[in-house]
Amino acid sequence: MLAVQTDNLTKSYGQVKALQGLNLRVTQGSIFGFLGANGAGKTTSIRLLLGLIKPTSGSSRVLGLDSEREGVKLRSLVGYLPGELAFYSNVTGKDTINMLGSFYKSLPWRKEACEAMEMSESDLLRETREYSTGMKQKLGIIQAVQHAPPLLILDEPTRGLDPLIQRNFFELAELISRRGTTIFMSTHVLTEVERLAADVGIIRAGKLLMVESVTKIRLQRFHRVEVAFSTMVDLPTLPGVSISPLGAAENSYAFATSGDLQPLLAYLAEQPVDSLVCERAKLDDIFLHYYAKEGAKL
Amino acid sequence: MNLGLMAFKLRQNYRTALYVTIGFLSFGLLMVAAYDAFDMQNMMGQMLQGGGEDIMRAMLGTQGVLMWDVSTFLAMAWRHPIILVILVGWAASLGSGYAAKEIGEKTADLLFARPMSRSKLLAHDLLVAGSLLFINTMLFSLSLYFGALSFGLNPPRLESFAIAGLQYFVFALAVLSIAYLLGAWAREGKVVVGAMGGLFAAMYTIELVGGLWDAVEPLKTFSLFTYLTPHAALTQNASAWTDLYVLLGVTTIAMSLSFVLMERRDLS
Repeated sequence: MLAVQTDNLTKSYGQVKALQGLNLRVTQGSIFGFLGANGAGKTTSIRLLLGLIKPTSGSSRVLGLDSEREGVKLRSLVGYLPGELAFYSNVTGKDTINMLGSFYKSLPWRKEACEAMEMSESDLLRETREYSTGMKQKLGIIQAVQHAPPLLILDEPTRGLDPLIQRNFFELAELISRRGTTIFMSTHVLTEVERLAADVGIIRAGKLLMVESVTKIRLQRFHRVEVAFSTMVDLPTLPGVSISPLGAAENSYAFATSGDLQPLLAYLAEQPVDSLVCERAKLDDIFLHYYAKEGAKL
Repeated sequence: MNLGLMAFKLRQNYRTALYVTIGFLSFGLLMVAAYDAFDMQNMMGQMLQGGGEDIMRAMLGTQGVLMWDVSTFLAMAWRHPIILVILVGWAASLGSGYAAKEIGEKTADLLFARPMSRSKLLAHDLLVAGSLLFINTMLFSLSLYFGALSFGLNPPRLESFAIAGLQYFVFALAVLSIAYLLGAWAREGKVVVGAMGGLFAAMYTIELVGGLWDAVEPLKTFSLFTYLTPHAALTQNASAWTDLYVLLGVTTIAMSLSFVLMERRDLS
Protein backbone atom coordinates (compact mmCIF):
# COMPACT_ATOMS: atom_id res chain seq x y z
CA MET A 1 0.00 0.00 0.00
CA LEU A 2 1.14 3.51 -0.77
CA ALA A 3 1.51 6.01 2.05
CA VAL A 4 1.58 8.96 -0.33
CA GLN A 5 0.31 9.11 -3.89
CA THR A 6 -0.05 12.24 -6.00
CA ASP A 7 -1.36 12.44 -9.56
CA ASN A 8 -0.53 15.51 -11.61
CA LEU A 9 -0.82 17.59 -8.48
CA THR A 10 -0.65 21.27 -9.43
CA LYS A 11 -0.95 24.44 -7.42
CA SER A 12 -0.87 27.95 -8.84
CA TYR A 13 -1.14 31.30 -7.10
CA GLY A 14 -2.24 33.58 -9.91
CA GLN A 15 0.56 33.50 -12.49
CA VAL A 16 2.97 31.77 -10.11
CA LYS A 17 3.08 28.00 -10.47
CA ALA A 18 4.13 26.73 -7.06
CA LEU A 19 3.77 23.07 -8.05
CA GLN A 20 3.50 21.58 -11.53
CA GLY A 21 2.12 18.12 -12.16
CA LEU A 22 3.66 16.34 -9.19
CA ASN A 23 3.51 12.55 -9.54
CA LEU A 24 4.86 10.93 -6.44
CA ARG A 25 4.62 7.46 -4.87
CA VAL A 26 5.88 6.73 -1.39
CA THR A 27 5.54 3.18 -0.13
CA GLN A 28 4.28 2.51 3.37
CA GLY A 29 6.94 1.94 6.00
CA SER A 30 9.71 3.68 4.06
CA ILE A 31 11.67 6.84 4.80
CA PHE A 32 11.38 9.24 1.90
CA GLY A 33 13.59 12.31 1.51
CA PHE A 34 12.03 15.19 -0.37
CA LEU A 35 14.87 17.40 -1.47
CA GLY A 36 14.76 20.87 -2.87
CA ALA A 37 16.10 24.36 -2.41
CA ASN A 38 14.05 26.96 -0.54
CA GLY A 39 10.97 27.87 -2.56
CA ALA A 40 11.15 24.71 -4.68
CA GLY A 41 7.63 23.62 -3.72
CA LYS A 42 8.26 21.25 -0.80
CA THR A 43 6.02 22.99 1.73
CA THR A 44 3.29 23.55 -0.86
CA SER A 45 3.34 19.81 -1.62
CA ILE A 46 3.01 18.98 2.08
CA ARG A 47 0.16 21.43 2.60
CA LEU A 48 -1.64 19.88 -0.35
CA LEU A 49 -1.12 16.38 1.05
CA LEU A 50 -2.63 17.44 4.38
CA GLY A 51 -5.57 19.20 2.74
CA LEU A 52 -4.58 22.59 4.17
CA ILE A 53 -4.68 24.09 0.69
CA LYS A 54 -6.67 23.04 -2.35
CA PRO A 55 -4.98 21.96 -5.59
CA THR A 56 -5.50 23.89 -8.80
CA SER A 57 -5.65 20.51 -10.53
CA GLY A 58 -4.71 16.91 -9.87
CA SER A 59 -5.23 14.91 -6.71
CA SER A 60 -3.41 13.34 -3.81
CA ARG A 61 -4.03 10.44 -1.47
CA VAL A 62 -2.42 9.85 1.88
CA LEU A 63 -2.68 6.34 3.39
CA GLY A 64 -5.43 5.69 0.86
CA LEU A 65 -7.46 8.76 1.82
CA ASP A 66 -8.23 11.67 -0.49
CA SER A 67 -6.53 14.82 0.79
CA GLU A 68 -9.34 17.13 -0.24
CA ARG A 69 -12.41 15.12 0.74
CA GLU A 70 -11.16 13.02 3.65
CA GLY A 71 -8.84 15.54 5.25
CA VAL A 72 -10.08 15.12 8.82
CA LYS A 73 -9.69 11.32 8.84
CA LEU A 74 -6.38 11.58 7.04
CA ARG A 75 -4.97 14.04 9.55
CA SER A 76 -5.79 11.68 12.41
CA LEU A 77 -3.19 9.32 10.92
CA VAL A 78 -0.47 11.89 10.35
CA GLY A 79 2.07 13.59 12.58
CA TYR A 80 3.23 16.87 11.08
CA LEU A 81 6.16 19.11 11.85
CA PRO A 82 5.71 22.39 9.93
CA GLY A 83 8.73 24.04 8.35
CA GLU A 84 7.84 27.51 9.60
CA LEU A 85 7.32 26.46 13.18
CA ALA A 86 5.71 28.89 15.61
CA PHE A 87 3.89 28.40 18.88
CA TYR A 88 1.31 30.30 20.88
CA SER A 89 3.33 32.69 22.99
CA ASN A 90 1.50 33.08 26.30
CA VAL A 91 1.19 29.41 27.23
CA THR A 92 3.65 26.76 28.36
CA GLY A 93 5.21 24.03 26.24
CA LYS A 94 3.21 21.44 28.16
CA ASP A 95 -0.06 23.32 27.53
CA THR A 96 0.83 23.38 23.85
CA ILE A 97 1.57 19.67 23.41
CA ASN A 98 -1.42 18.80 25.62
CA MET A 99 -3.72 20.85 23.39
CA LEU A 100 -2.20 19.53 20.17
CA GLY A 101 -2.38 15.99 21.56
CA SER A 102 -5.99 16.38 22.73
CA PHE A 103 -7.21 15.51 19.23
CA TYR A 104 -5.95 11.94 19.47
CA LYS A 105 -7.04 8.93 21.53
CA SER A 106 -3.69 8.36 23.22
CA LEU A 107 -0.15 9.70 23.26
CA PRO A 108 1.98 6.55 23.58
CA TRP A 109 5.22 8.00 22.23
CA ARG A 110 5.31 11.27 24.14
CA LYS A 111 7.59 10.15 26.95
CA GLU A 112 10.02 8.55 24.51
CA ALA A 113 10.04 11.64 22.29
CA CYS A 114 10.61 13.96 25.26
CA GLU A 115 13.54 11.82 26.39
CA ALA A 116 15.07 11.71 22.91
CA MET A 117 14.69 15.47 22.54
CA GLU A 118 15.98 16.00 26.08
CA MET A 119 12.98 18.07 27.08
CA SER A 120 12.56 17.86 30.84
CA GLU A 121 9.35 18.54 32.77
CA SER A 122 10.76 21.91 33.87
CA ASP A 123 11.48 22.81 30.22
CA LEU A 124 7.90 21.95 29.32
CA LEU A 125 6.54 24.10 32.14
CA ARG A 126 8.19 27.23 30.71
CA GLU A 127 6.23 29.55 28.44
CA THR A 128 7.07 28.94 24.78
CA ARG A 129 7.98 32.60 24.23
CA GLU A 130 11.06 31.91 26.38
CA TYR A 131 12.10 29.01 24.14
CA SER A 132 15.14 29.19 21.87
CA THR A 133 14.78 28.15 18.21
CA GLY A 134 16.20 24.73 19.06
CA MET A 135 13.76 24.18 21.93
CA LYS A 136 10.84 25.15 19.70
CA GLN A 137 12.03 22.62 17.14
CA LYS A 138 12.27 19.93 19.82
CA LEU A 139 8.73 20.72 20.97
CA GLY A 140 7.62 20.58 17.34
CA ILE A 141 9.10 17.10 16.93
CA ILE A 142 7.45 15.91 20.17
CA GLN A 143 4.01 17.13 19.12
CA ALA A 144 4.39 15.46 15.72
CA VAL A 145 5.47 12.11 17.14
CA GLN A 146 3.57 11.82 20.45
CA HIS A 147 0.40 10.15 19.10
CA ALA A 148 2.27 7.36 17.27
CA PRO A 149 1.10 8.31 13.76
CA PRO A 150 1.34 5.80 10.89
CA LEU A 151 2.76 8.63 8.73
CA LEU A 152 5.14 11.31 9.89
CA ILE A 153 5.58 14.38 7.70
CA LEU A 154 8.59 16.42 8.74
CA ASP A 155 9.40 19.73 7.08
CA GLU A 156 13.04 20.63 7.77
CA PRO A 157 13.22 18.53 10.97
CA THR A 158 16.76 19.35 12.11
CA ARG A 159 16.52 23.11 11.70
CA GLY A 160 17.98 24.76 14.82
CA LEU A 161 18.92 21.50 16.55
CA ASP A 162 22.42 21.14 17.98
CA PRO A 163 24.51 18.17 16.72
CA LEU A 164 23.80 16.06 19.83
CA ILE A 165 20.03 16.45 19.55
CA GLN A 166 20.28 15.92 15.79
CA ARG A 167 21.87 12.55 16.49
CA ASN A 168 19.09 11.77 18.97
CA PHE A 169 16.53 12.78 16.35
CA PHE A 170 18.06 10.42 13.79
CA GLU A 171 17.94 7.58 16.31
CA LEU A 172 14.33 8.38 17.18
CA ALA A 173 13.39 8.49 13.49
CA GLU A 174 15.08 5.14 12.86
CA LEU A 175 13.27 3.61 15.84
CA ILE A 176 9.91 4.97 14.68
CA SER A 177 10.57 3.70 11.18
CA ARG A 178 11.34 0.22 12.51
CA ARG A 179 7.92 0.27 14.16
CA GLY A 180 6.32 0.68 10.74
CA THR A 181 5.74 4.43 10.56
CA THR A 182 6.33 5.98 7.15
CA ILE A 183 8.50 9.08 7.31
CA PHE A 184 8.19 11.76 4.64
CA MET A 185 10.97 14.22 5.24
CA SER A 186 11.33 17.46 3.36
CA THR A 187 14.69 19.15 3.60
CA HIS A 188 17.51 20.91 1.87
CA VAL A 189 20.03 19.50 4.34
CA LEU A 190 21.22 16.54 2.35
CA THR A 191 23.23 14.75 4.98
CA GLU A 192 20.10 13.97 6.99
CA VAL A 193 18.47 12.35 3.96
CA GLU A 194 21.65 10.43 3.26
CA ARG A 195 21.64 9.23 6.86
CA LEU A 196 17.97 8.23 7.04
CA ALA A 197 16.17 7.92 3.74
CA ALA A 198 15.85 4.90 1.49
CA ASP A 199 14.35 6.89 -1.40
CA VAL A 200 14.86 10.44 -2.53
CA GLY A 201 12.83 12.84 -4.65
CA ILE A 202 14.35 16.05 -5.93
CA ILE A 203 12.10 18.99 -6.68
CA ARG A 204 12.98 22.27 -8.32
CA ALA A 205 10.76 25.22 -9.26
CA GLY A 206 7.65 23.15 -8.55
CA LYS A 207 8.71 20.26 -10.78
CA LEU A 208 9.82 16.84 -9.61
CA LEU A 209 13.19 16.20 -11.26
CA MET A 210 13.71 12.62 -10.17
CA VAL A 211 12.80 9.93 -7.66
CA GLU A 212 15.39 7.31 -6.93
CA SER A 213 16.65 5.10 -4.14
CA VAL A 214 19.73 6.39 -2.35
CA THR A 215 21.51 3.09 -3.12
CA LYS A 216 20.79 3.40 -6.84
CA ILE A 217 21.98 6.99 -6.93
CA ARG A 218 25.24 5.90 -5.41
CA LEU A 219 25.55 3.15 -8.02
CA GLN A 220 25.27 5.65 -10.86
CA ARG A 221 28.98 6.36 -10.45
CA PHE A 222 28.73 9.91 -9.32
CA HIS A 223 32.13 11.38 -8.50
CA ARG A 224 33.31 14.63 -7.12
CA VAL A 225 36.48 15.82 -8.86
CA GLU A 226 38.76 18.67 -7.88
CA VAL A 227 41.56 19.40 -10.31
CA ALA A 228 44.19 22.15 -10.42
CA PHE A 229 46.28 22.90 -13.51
CA SER A 230 49.62 24.67 -13.70
CA THR A 231 48.32 26.75 -16.63
CA MET A 232 44.89 27.89 -17.75
CA VAL A 233 42.88 25.00 -19.25
CA ASP A 234 39.31 24.98 -20.56
CA LEU A 235 37.42 21.81 -19.77
CA PRO A 236 36.10 20.31 -23.01
CA THR A 237 32.92 18.29 -23.49
CA LEU A 238 33.84 14.64 -23.11
CA PRO A 239 31.84 11.75 -24.54
CA GLY A 240 29.97 9.74 -21.89
CA VAL A 241 30.85 12.15 -19.08
CA SER A 242 28.31 14.53 -17.62
CA ILE A 243 30.01 17.40 -15.84
CA SER A 244 28.27 19.79 -13.46
CA PRO A 245 30.42 22.61 -12.12
CA LEU A 246 30.45 22.96 -8.35
CA GLY A 247 32.98 25.77 -8.17
CA ALA A 248 36.01 27.25 -9.91
CA ALA A 249 39.09 29.20 -8.91
CA GLU A 250 42.21 30.29 -10.82
CA ASN A 251 43.35 27.34 -13.01
CA SER A 252 41.27 24.90 -10.94
CA TYR A 253 37.85 23.32 -11.08
CA ALA A 254 35.52 21.39 -8.81
CA PHE A 255 32.76 19.42 -10.48
CA ALA A 256 30.50 16.41 -10.16
CA THR A 257 30.56 13.75 -12.84
CA SER A 258 28.30 10.87 -13.63
CA GLY A 259 29.05 7.95 -15.91
CA ASP A 260 32.36 6.49 -17.01
CA LEU A 261 35.44 8.25 -15.61
CA GLN A 262 37.79 6.83 -18.24
CA PRO A 263 37.46 9.62 -20.88
CA LEU A 264 38.03 12.27 -18.23
CA LEU A 265 41.09 10.56 -16.82
CA ALA A 266 42.48 10.07 -20.33
CA TYR A 267 42.01 13.75 -21.05
CA LEU A 268 43.55 14.84 -17.75
CA ALA A 269 46.57 12.61 -18.35
CA GLU A 270 47.53 14.86 -21.27
CA GLN A 271 47.07 18.10 -19.33
CA PRO A 272 49.43 19.96 -16.96
CA VAL A 273 47.69 18.72 -13.81
CA ASP A 274 49.10 20.02 -10.53
CA SER A 275 46.77 18.15 -8.25
CA LEU A 276 43.77 15.87 -8.60
CA VAL A 277 41.23 14.69 -6.05
CA CYS A 278 38.58 12.24 -7.20
CA GLU A 279 36.18 10.75 -4.70
CA ARG A 280 32.73 9.18 -4.62
CA ALA A 281 30.25 12.03 -4.57
CA LYS A 282 28.13 12.74 -1.55
CA LEU A 283 24.44 13.37 -1.90
CA ASP A 284 25.08 17.13 -1.71
CA ASP A 285 27.09 16.98 -4.92
CA ILE A 286 24.53 14.76 -6.62
CA PHE A 287 21.77 17.16 -5.65
CA LEU A 288 23.73 20.06 -7.09
CA HIS A 289 24.46 17.97 -10.18
CA TYR A 290 20.70 17.52 -10.80
CA TYR A 291 20.00 21.17 -10.15
CA ALA A 292 22.77 22.24 -12.52
CA LYS A 293 21.58 19.83 -15.19
CA GLU A 294 18.16 21.48 -15.07
CA GLY A 295 19.73 24.87 -15.61
CA ALA A 296 19.31 26.31 -12.13
CA LYS A 297 21.67 28.90 -10.84
CA LEU A 298 23.81 27.43 -8.11
CA MET B 1 -16.34 18.49 21.87
CA ASN B 2 -12.61 18.83 22.57
CA LEU B 3 -12.26 20.07 26.16
CA GLY B 4 -8.48 20.21 25.86
CA LEU B 5 -8.75 22.72 23.03
CA MET B 6 -11.30 24.81 24.92
CA ALA B 7 -9.21 24.83 28.10
CA PHE B 8 -6.22 25.94 26.00
CA LYS B 9 -8.15 28.79 24.41
CA LEU B 10 -9.46 29.87 27.81
CA ARG B 11 -5.91 29.87 29.15
CA GLN B 12 -4.82 32.01 26.21
CA ASN B 13 -7.54 34.61 26.74
CA TYR B 14 -8.40 34.69 30.43
CA ARG B 15 -5.94 37.44 31.39
CA THR B 16 -7.36 39.98 28.93
CA ALA B 17 -10.89 38.91 29.83
CA LEU B 18 -10.14 39.42 33.51
CA TYR B 19 -8.64 42.88 33.02
CA VAL B 20 -11.50 44.03 30.77
CA THR B 21 -14.10 42.72 33.21
CA ILE B 22 -12.45 44.35 36.22
CA GLY B 23 -12.30 47.60 34.24
CA PHE B 24 -15.97 47.37 33.30
CA LEU B 25 -17.07 46.59 36.86
CA SER B 26 -15.02 49.48 38.26
CA PHE B 27 -16.41 51.82 35.62
CA GLY B 28 -20.01 50.76 36.38
CA LEU B 29 -19.61 51.19 40.10
CA LEU B 30 -17.89 54.56 39.65
CA MET B 31 -20.75 55.75 37.44
CA VAL B 32 -23.31 54.77 40.07
CA ALA B 33 -21.24 56.31 42.86
CA ALA B 34 -20.86 59.55 40.86
CA TYR B 35 -24.62 59.70 40.30
CA ASP B 36 -25.15 59.43 44.04
CA ALA B 37 -22.32 61.72 45.13
CA PHE B 38 -22.65 64.64 42.73
CA ASP B 39 -26.43 64.99 42.50
CA MET B 40 -26.23 64.04 38.84
CA GLN B 41 -29.99 63.93 38.43
CA ASN B 42 -30.30 67.64 39.13
CA MET B 43 -27.16 68.53 37.20
CA MET B 44 -28.14 66.62 34.06
CA GLY B 45 -31.73 67.84 34.31
CA GLN B 46 -30.38 71.38 33.99
CA MET B 47 -28.31 70.32 31.00
CA LEU B 48 -31.37 68.90 29.27
CA GLN B 49 -33.32 72.08 29.88
CA GLY B 50 -30.41 74.07 28.48
CA GLY B 51 -30.80 72.43 25.04
CA GLY B 52 -28.58 69.37 25.47
CA GLU B 53 -31.39 66.90 24.87
CA ASP B 54 -30.56 66.21 21.22
CA ILE B 55 -26.96 65.30 21.88
CA MET B 56 -27.99 63.18 24.87
CA ARG B 57 -30.56 61.36 22.77
CA ALA B 58 -28.00 60.78 20.01
CA MET B 59 -25.49 59.38 22.50
CA LEU B 60 -28.08 57.12 24.07
CA GLY B 61 -29.45 56.03 20.71
CA THR B 62 -33.00 56.68 21.84
CA GLN B 63 -35.96 58.61 20.48
CA GLY B 64 -38.80 60.62 21.96
CA VAL B 65 -38.92 62.64 25.14
CA LEU B 66 -35.97 62.00 27.40
CA MET B 67 -36.67 61.74 31.12
CA TRP B 68 -33.61 62.43 33.17
CA ASP B 69 -33.79 59.66 35.72
CA VAL B 70 -31.58 56.83 36.89
CA SER B 71 -32.51 54.60 33.88
CA THR B 72 -31.27 57.24 31.45
CA PHE B 73 -28.11 57.72 33.45
CA LEU B 74 -27.39 54.00 33.68
CA ALA B 75 -28.03 53.57 29.95
CA MET B 76 -25.16 56.04 29.52
CA ALA B 77 -22.83 53.51 31.13
CA TRP B 78 -23.51 50.92 28.38
CA ARG B 79 -23.25 53.48 25.62
CA HIS B 80 -20.24 55.33 27.00
CA PRO B 81 -17.63 55.72 24.20
CA ILE B 82 -14.81 54.35 26.35
CA ILE B 83 -16.73 51.21 27.19
CA LEU B 84 -17.80 50.77 23.56
CA VAL B 85 -14.23 51.17 22.28
CA ILE B 86 -12.96 48.58 24.76
CA LEU B 87 -15.77 46.12 24.03
CA VAL B 88 -15.47 46.41 20.24
CA GLY B 89 -11.66 46.22 20.40
CA TRP B 90 -11.71 43.17 22.65
CA ALA B 91 -14.37 41.31 20.62
CA ALA B 92 -12.51 42.17 17.39
CA SER B 93 -9.28 40.90 18.86
CA LEU B 94 -10.93 37.65 19.95
CA GLY B 95 -12.45 37.20 16.49
CA SER B 96 -9.19 37.93 14.70
CA GLY B 97 -7.50 35.12 16.63
CA TYR B 98 -9.15 32.25 14.83
CA ALA B 99 -7.76 32.30 11.31
CA ALA B 100 -6.04 35.56 10.41
CA LYS B 101 -3.91 35.70 13.54
CA GLU B 102 -3.10 31.99 13.27
CA ILE B 103 -1.90 32.51 9.70
CA GLY B 104 -0.07 35.76 10.47
CA GLU B 105 1.74 34.27 13.46
CA LYS B 106 2.39 30.98 11.61
CA THR B 107 0.54 28.74 14.09
CA ALA B 108 -2.11 27.83 11.49
CA ASP B 109 -0.09 24.88 10.17
CA LEU B 110 -0.06 23.37 13.67
CA LEU B 111 -3.73 23.86 14.51
CA PHE B 112 -5.33 23.14 11.16
CA ALA B 113 -3.26 19.98 10.65
CA ARG B 114 -5.29 18.41 13.51
CA PRO B 115 -8.06 15.92 12.75
CA MET B 116 -10.92 18.35 13.15
CA SER B 117 -12.84 20.25 10.48
CA ARG B 118 -12.38 24.02 10.29
CA SER B 119 -16.05 24.53 11.13
CA LYS B 120 -15.67 22.58 14.35
CA LEU B 121 -12.50 24.44 15.23
CA LEU B 122 -14.36 27.70 14.63
CA ALA B 123 -17.27 26.48 16.75
CA HIS B 124 -14.86 25.77 19.64
CA ASP B 125 -13.38 29.22 19.28
CA LEU B 126 -16.85 30.77 19.20
CA LEU B 127 -17.90 28.88 22.31
CA VAL B 128 -14.91 30.10 24.32
CA ALA B 129 -15.00 33.70 23.06
CA GLY B 130 -18.80 33.80 23.44
CA SER B 131 -18.58 32.54 27.03
CA LEU B 132 -16.01 35.19 27.95
CA LEU B 133 -18.11 37.93 26.36
CA PHE B 134 -21.26 36.62 28.06
CA ILE B 135 -19.65 36.60 31.50
CA ASN B 136 -18.27 40.09 30.96
CA THR B 137 -21.45 41.71 29.66
CA MET B 138 -23.71 40.06 32.23
CA LEU B 139 -21.40 40.94 35.13
CA PHE B 140 -21.35 44.51 33.89
CA SER B 141 -25.16 44.62 33.89
CA LEU B 142 -25.37 43.06 37.32
CA SER B 143 -22.78 45.44 38.73
CA LEU B 144 -24.85 48.39 37.52
CA TYR B 145 -28.02 46.93 39.03
CA PHE B 146 -26.58 45.98 42.39
CA GLY B 147 -24.51 49.18 42.50
CA ALA B 148 -27.62 51.30 41.97
CA LEU B 149 -29.48 49.18 44.51
CA SER B 150 -26.80 49.53 47.16
CA PHE B 151 -26.72 53.33 46.71
CA GLY B 152 -30.52 53.43 47.09
CA LEU B 153 -31.06 54.84 43.59
CA ASN B 154 -34.24 52.86 43.01
CA PRO B 155 -33.18 51.17 39.72
CA PRO B 156 -35.62 49.41 37.35
CA ARG B 157 -36.31 45.70 37.88
CA LEU B 158 -33.52 43.12 37.52
CA GLU B 159 -35.16 41.64 34.40
CA SER B 160 -34.67 44.95 32.60
CA PHE B 161 -30.96 44.81 33.40
CA ALA B 162 -30.88 41.20 32.21
CA ILE B 163 -32.41 42.23 28.87
CA ALA B 164 -29.98 45.15 28.56
CA GLY B 165 -27.12 42.79 29.38
CA LEU B 166 -28.34 40.22 26.88
CA GLN B 167 -28.58 42.90 24.20
CA TYR B 168 -25.04 44.02 25.05
CA PHE B 169 -23.85 40.42 24.80
CA VAL B 170 -25.48 39.90 21.39
CA PHE B 171 -23.98 43.20 20.21
CA ALA B 172 -20.55 41.88 21.28
CA LEU B 173 -21.31 38.59 19.48
CA ALA B 174 -22.15 40.54 16.32
CA VAL B 175 -18.79 42.32 16.56
CA LEU B 176 -17.08 38.96 17.14
CA SER B 177 -18.76 37.32 14.16
CA ILE B 178 -17.88 40.21 11.83
CA ALA B 179 -14.28 39.86 13.05
CA TYR B 180 -14.45 36.12 12.25
CA LEU B 181 -15.74 36.96 8.80
CA LEU B 182 -12.88 39.39 8.13
CA GLY B 183 -10.48 36.91 9.73
CA ALA B 184 -11.62 34.20 7.34
CA TRP B 185 -10.43 36.40 4.52
CA ALA B 186 -7.42 38.29 5.94
CA ARG B 187 -3.91 36.99 6.49
CA GLU B 188 -3.03 38.87 9.68
CA GLY B 189 -4.83 39.50 12.95
CA LYS B 190 -3.80 43.14 13.15
CA VAL B 191 -5.35 43.77 9.73
CA VAL B 192 -8.66 42.46 11.09
CA VAL B 193 -8.47 44.57 14.25
CA GLY B 194 -7.56 47.64 12.18
CA ALA B 195 -10.40 47.07 9.71
CA MET B 196 -12.84 46.50 12.57
CA GLY B 197 -11.68 49.73 14.22
CA GLY B 198 -12.34 51.66 11.01
CA LEU B 199 -15.69 49.98 10.38
CA PHE B 200 -17.04 50.56 13.87
CA ALA B 201 -15.70 54.12 14.06
CA ALA B 202 -17.66 54.82 10.87
CA MET B 203 -20.76 53.13 12.32
CA TYR B 204 -20.51 55.16 15.52
CA THR B 205 -20.10 58.39 13.57
CA ILE B 206 -23.20 57.57 11.50
CA GLU B 207 -25.12 56.75 14.69
CA LEU B 208 -24.13 59.97 16.42
CA VAL B 209 -24.45 62.32 13.44
CA GLY B 210 -27.63 60.56 12.29
CA GLY B 211 -29.16 61.30 15.69
CA LEU B 212 -28.53 65.01 15.22
CA TRP B 213 -28.87 65.57 11.48
CA ASP B 214 -31.93 64.37 9.59
CA ALA B 215 -30.06 64.01 6.26
CA VAL B 216 -27.86 61.25 7.72
CA GLU B 217 -30.61 59.66 9.79
CA PRO B 218 -31.58 56.97 7.17
CA LEU B 219 -28.00 55.65 7.22
CA LYS B 220 -28.41 54.70 10.87
CA THR B 221 -30.00 51.44 9.67
CA PHE B 222 -26.49 50.29 8.69
CA SER B 223 -24.94 51.05 12.05
CA LEU B 224 -24.92 48.26 14.63
CA PHE B 225 -24.94 50.88 17.39
CA THR B 226 -28.50 51.77 16.36
CA TYR B 227 -29.59 48.39 17.72
CA LEU B 228 -27.75 48.76 21.00
CA THR B 229 -30.54 50.30 23.05
CA PRO B 230 -30.05 49.70 26.78
CA HIS B 231 -32.29 52.68 27.48
CA ALA B 232 -35.18 50.90 25.76
CA ALA B 233 -34.45 47.78 27.81
CA LEU B 234 -34.38 49.67 31.11
CA THR B 235 -37.59 51.55 30.31
CA GLN B 236 -39.21 48.24 29.27
CA ASN B 237 -39.80 49.36 25.70
CA ALA B 238 -40.62 46.45 23.34
CA SER B 239 -38.19 47.83 20.75
CA ALA B 240 -35.36 46.47 22.92
CA TRP B 241 -36.33 42.96 21.82
CA THR B 242 -36.62 43.96 18.16
CA ASP B 243 -33.13 45.46 18.32
CA LEU B 244 -31.84 42.30 19.96
CA TYR B 245 -33.26 40.18 17.13
CA VAL B 246 -31.62 42.42 14.53
CA LEU B 247 -28.26 41.98 16.27
CA LEU B 248 -28.86 38.24 16.43
CA GLY B 249 -29.64 38.20 12.69
CA VAL B 250 -26.41 40.04 11.88
CA THR B 251 -24.50 37.58 14.07
CA THR B 252 -26.09 34.57 12.36
CA ILE B 253 -25.38 35.86 8.85
CA ALA B 254 -21.79 36.84 9.62
CA MET B 255 -21.09 33.53 11.39
CA SER B 256 -22.61 31.48 8.55
CA LEU B 257 -20.49 33.33 6.00
CA SER B 258 -17.42 32.82 8.20
CA PHE B 259 -18.02 29.07 8.28
CA VAL B 260 -18.39 28.92 4.49
CA LEU B 261 -15.34 31.11 3.82
CA MET B 262 -13.19 29.19 6.27
CA GLU B 263 -13.99 25.85 4.66
CA ARG B 264 -13.00 27.22 1.27
CA ARG B 265 -9.89 29.21 1.96
CA ASP B 266 -6.30 28.09 1.53
CA LEU B 267 -4.42 28.10 4.79
CA SER B 268 -1.05 29.43 3.69
